[in-house]
Amino acid sequence: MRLLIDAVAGAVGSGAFAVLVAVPRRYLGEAAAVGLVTGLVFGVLSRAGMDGAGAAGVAALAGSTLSEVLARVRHQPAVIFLLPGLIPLVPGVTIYHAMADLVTGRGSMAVQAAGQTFLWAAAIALGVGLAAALIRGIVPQKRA
Amino acid sequence: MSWKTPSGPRVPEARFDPGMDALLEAGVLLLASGAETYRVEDTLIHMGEALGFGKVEVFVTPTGVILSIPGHRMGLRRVVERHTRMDIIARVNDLSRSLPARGGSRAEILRSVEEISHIAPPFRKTVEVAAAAAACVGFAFLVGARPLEGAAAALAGALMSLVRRGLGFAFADRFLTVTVGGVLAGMIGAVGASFGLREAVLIPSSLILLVPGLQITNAVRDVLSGDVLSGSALALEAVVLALALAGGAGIGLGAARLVHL
Repeated sequence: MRLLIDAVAGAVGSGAFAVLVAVPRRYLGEAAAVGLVTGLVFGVLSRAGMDGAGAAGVAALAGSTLSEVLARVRHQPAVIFLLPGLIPLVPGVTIYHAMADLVTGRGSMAVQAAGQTFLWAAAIALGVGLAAALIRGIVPQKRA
Repeated sequence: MSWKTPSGPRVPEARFDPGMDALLEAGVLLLASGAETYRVEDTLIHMGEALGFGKVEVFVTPTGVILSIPGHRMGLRRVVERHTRMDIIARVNDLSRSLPARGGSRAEILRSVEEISHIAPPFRKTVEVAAAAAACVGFAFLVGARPLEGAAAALAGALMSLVRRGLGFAFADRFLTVTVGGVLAGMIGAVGASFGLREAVLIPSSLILLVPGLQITNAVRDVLSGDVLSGSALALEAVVLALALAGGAGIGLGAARLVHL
């Protein structure tokens, strides 16, 4: 049940964010599908006890790979699917904790949360980078 | 929507070859809409070939396009305003892919590019506000929201989107918009907390609309493609925007705590 909620929440979040960045109507489904995958992978791994940053990294790898595949199938730049698809992975919670700890005077905990945010972002970047490098190595995108 | 250049309206005599104008315009459109730098360079090189320019040299950074074609004047166009518009990226991409087959004069192709710059956003404003609400709800459930918190996140998302729209008119400065958005998110969290909802759910869900996601993904992909200059510029922008956002949220939270909300 929890995983179903994660998957649906990822798809809804990404689909809605796709509207906000003006993804063409005909690709909204694909954008939501990428969000479904990232939300689901993140949910499975983090509920299995994996650290948030690690789970986000693996989910970014999965979502990014799917985006690169969709880009080749649909002959569009990957960013159209990737940008909304990665939104479920944003480290909003650790950013919040960093700020909340800072304003309540728990400096060392704030630093810890900020460090976690940085690691989290780095993990997403690593996932995106790995997927792009791998797929580009295997199937270079053909241009018109 | 029109793309302003610092030089103001272009005088007819100052125009380049129409094909070159088409390339510069297409590059500016892609960049301003949020395309990756390496992808812009790629597209312009292919469009250049299709337009009969042969090998075109392009240098693209997040803030401008430099184009050099043997036998022509050097072309440069700055990008000042940026609005994330995936539909425009898709349209320029479609145009670029159709060029080799479609033919047509360079002036016609320039007109096609200029038409793309004028297309209206694909969704109405009401749909966008609803989408902002839905995006926040989706994220709220990902961070473990209870049903009531989900409903509050929807309200927060709609409110954030409306305020952001208002701010966009008041000052185009994105740094300020993001900071003020962060303050609002912090206050939304504090108000929600006074109704027994968790700040730790409401604030992250509200912030989702303002995070520099585009900069982070494009930074990685640009660095990997060898566009290290653009990649590092985007990474710096992402850090600055994230700090502005977090700082804003901190101000909002702190202010709310001061008045014991």
